[in-house]
Amino acid sequence: MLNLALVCLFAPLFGFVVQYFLGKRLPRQGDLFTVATLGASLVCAILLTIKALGGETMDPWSIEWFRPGGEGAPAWTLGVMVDGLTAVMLVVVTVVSFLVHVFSIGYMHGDAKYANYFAWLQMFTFAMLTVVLASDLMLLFIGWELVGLSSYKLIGFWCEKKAPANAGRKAFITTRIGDVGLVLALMVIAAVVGSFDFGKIAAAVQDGTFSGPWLTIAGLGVLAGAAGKSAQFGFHVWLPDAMEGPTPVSALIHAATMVAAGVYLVGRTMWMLTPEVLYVVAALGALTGIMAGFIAVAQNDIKKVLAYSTVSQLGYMFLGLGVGAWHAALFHLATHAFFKALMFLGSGSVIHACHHEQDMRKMGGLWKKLPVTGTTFLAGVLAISGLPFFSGFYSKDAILSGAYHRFPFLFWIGLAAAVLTAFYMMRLFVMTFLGKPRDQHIYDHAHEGGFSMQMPLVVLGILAVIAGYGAWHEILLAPDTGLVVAGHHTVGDIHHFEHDTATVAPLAIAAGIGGLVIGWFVFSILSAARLAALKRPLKGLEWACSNKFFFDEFYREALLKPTYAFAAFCGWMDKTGVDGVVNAIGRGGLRLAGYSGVNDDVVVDGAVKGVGATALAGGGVFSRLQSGRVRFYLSVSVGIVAVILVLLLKKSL
Amino acid sequence: MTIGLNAYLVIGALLFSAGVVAVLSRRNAVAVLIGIELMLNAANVNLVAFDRFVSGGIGGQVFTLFVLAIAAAEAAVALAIILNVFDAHDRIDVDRVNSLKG
Repeated sequence: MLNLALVCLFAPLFGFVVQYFLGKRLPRQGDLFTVATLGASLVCAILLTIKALGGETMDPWSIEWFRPGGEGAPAWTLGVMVDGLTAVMLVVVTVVSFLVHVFSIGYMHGDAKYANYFAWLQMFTFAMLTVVLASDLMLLFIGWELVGLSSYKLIGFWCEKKAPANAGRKAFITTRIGDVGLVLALMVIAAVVGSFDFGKIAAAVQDGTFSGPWLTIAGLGVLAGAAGKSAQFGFHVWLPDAMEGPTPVSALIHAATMVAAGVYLVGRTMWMLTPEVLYVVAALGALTGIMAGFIAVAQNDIKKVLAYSTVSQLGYMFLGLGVGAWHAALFHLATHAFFKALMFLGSGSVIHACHHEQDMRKMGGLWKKLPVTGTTFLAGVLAISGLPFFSGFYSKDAILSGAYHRFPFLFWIGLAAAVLTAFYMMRLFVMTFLGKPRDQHIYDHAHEGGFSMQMPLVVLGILAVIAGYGAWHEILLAPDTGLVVAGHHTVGDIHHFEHDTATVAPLAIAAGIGGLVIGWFVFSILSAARLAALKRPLKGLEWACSNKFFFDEFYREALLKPTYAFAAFCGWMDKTGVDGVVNAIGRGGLRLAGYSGVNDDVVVDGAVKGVGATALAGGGVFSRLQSGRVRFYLSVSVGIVAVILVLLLKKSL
Repeated sequence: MTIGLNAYLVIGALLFSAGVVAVLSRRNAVAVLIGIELMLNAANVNLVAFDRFVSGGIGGQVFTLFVLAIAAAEAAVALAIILNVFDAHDRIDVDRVNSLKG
């Protein structure tokens, strides 16, 4: 089992390394190669799931990384483990990633950075698998940041344009703000428990050594990280902008996997979260769900609608986690991954057919032109709306019944969000596929993509319908490693919700069908004039929704502008204060050097040159004596001898 | 009047002075050489005189012989130099031989 897990994990990393450095030289720029490495990963994931379902358990396997406290201190380890939750996530990640790879072959055909694109898809898959397989928070965090990096690279894939580059930055920075909380939680855990291993932390929580405010702080930190990645209320602004990336990337990262990483993290560390934290989780989720639902109704960009829909569904998952419906939330994660990936790939197919037109107001009537896309998209719409017998029904229903039993107030919010979901999904479907073509030119040129684009749609369409029948509860809880529900909830709690769906199911079904019917009626039957008349009293709401409740504007005014102002102030301080001192010191040095130079020129050089000049002058005087006339020399010497003689004689006399 | 030591010394002094004047006043190298010989012989006269009147013995005469030998050698060397100077300058004027001046 360990070997399978390791192959599953490292196949995409191998793919990334080879593709990144050699991709352009591989046949077909390496697209089939990356599909193959991911296929290996997918096979391993399925085999692992089968084994997990068979009750086989894998002991967590880890390597020691280092001991921050020196010899004898608890070691930090990096390890992998496989339990039911991991198995489900593995399947979701590898299946969606595999289909996105295949879809991308058609969608990205002819792109200048074709090979590079597949390399980063591989990197992302590796990072996501690291998050999922990690048996300790440290390795999970490493994968977590790698996910952020590859997301940044892929959102900004067309970075020569301004918008994608900015969107990539926004996504990276926004999620990083949430990650500050996660790092804080890691610090608390390191200080209190001394180990990041899930088993050790869970043991510490159970025997009471890790409790009280510290546990709450760690839980809130984890929640902040998860909310950042999963684009929860307040952090959600990056996700719609991330739609600037290639559409298959949106399907993989911003619908199915990366944004679900936050849900996975909370699900993985559920036993760590105190009731207060869980309440925050639930409230945050419900608020996110309803808010994003309202915004989605007013969007006209097909991908933006799906993006806000994703935010809304992620809110649902948080609501599920917060009310303790652990399995329901993760079940919804899996089904949502399939039908949202389906709809994103479907929108990719539409965008591809319409020559990269994303405005729904220019579409319409595409059903006839794109039968495969339209049919599969309809399956996705029905699934997300929670129609019975579609996958979304089972998971959504489970979450709602959980909420009904714990926080009835949040249940009603969730139900309202369900109506909204069905409503805006129907609006999207009607505007895109039904009615008359609004732009004849686009309509005339629309065509279905090739096999590589249709096959993933069909597979995901089937999964969107049948995924709800899977034995998810059994798989999720399969080999009970003791980690899943160690804290405040028991297995009994979870099954408790399951048996109560009967009370909630009719309401949920009514909400879904109601939303769909209203949507169909409003956008398909009503004439444009009647629709406008209907909209009039809701003008204020529409204005707020279409402007996304002014989150971006608020952040710009409240956070960015002060930041820029502070930066400008710091710059000014630097230029006048710090630079002033530095320049003054420089000027002083310059002046000192000037004095030193004068001293050097005048005193030192003067002395040296003076000696030279004196010697020269003396030489001049004496060289006159060296006339070369022998007789002159002799005269002098005779004269001197005569003088000496006179003096001697005088003395002796 | 007896001829004593003083007479010899006066003769030596006159000879020496004549040699000095010749050396200093003549530009012809040969004349200068002759002047030098005069000065050497003045010294010889003094040596013989002191030997005869003061010390007694033959030391002074021996010195004189040495001086004569050295004078002969010196004359040979000097004449050789003069010959070379003549080759180089076509004359033997000592004032013209000044290429070593500073």
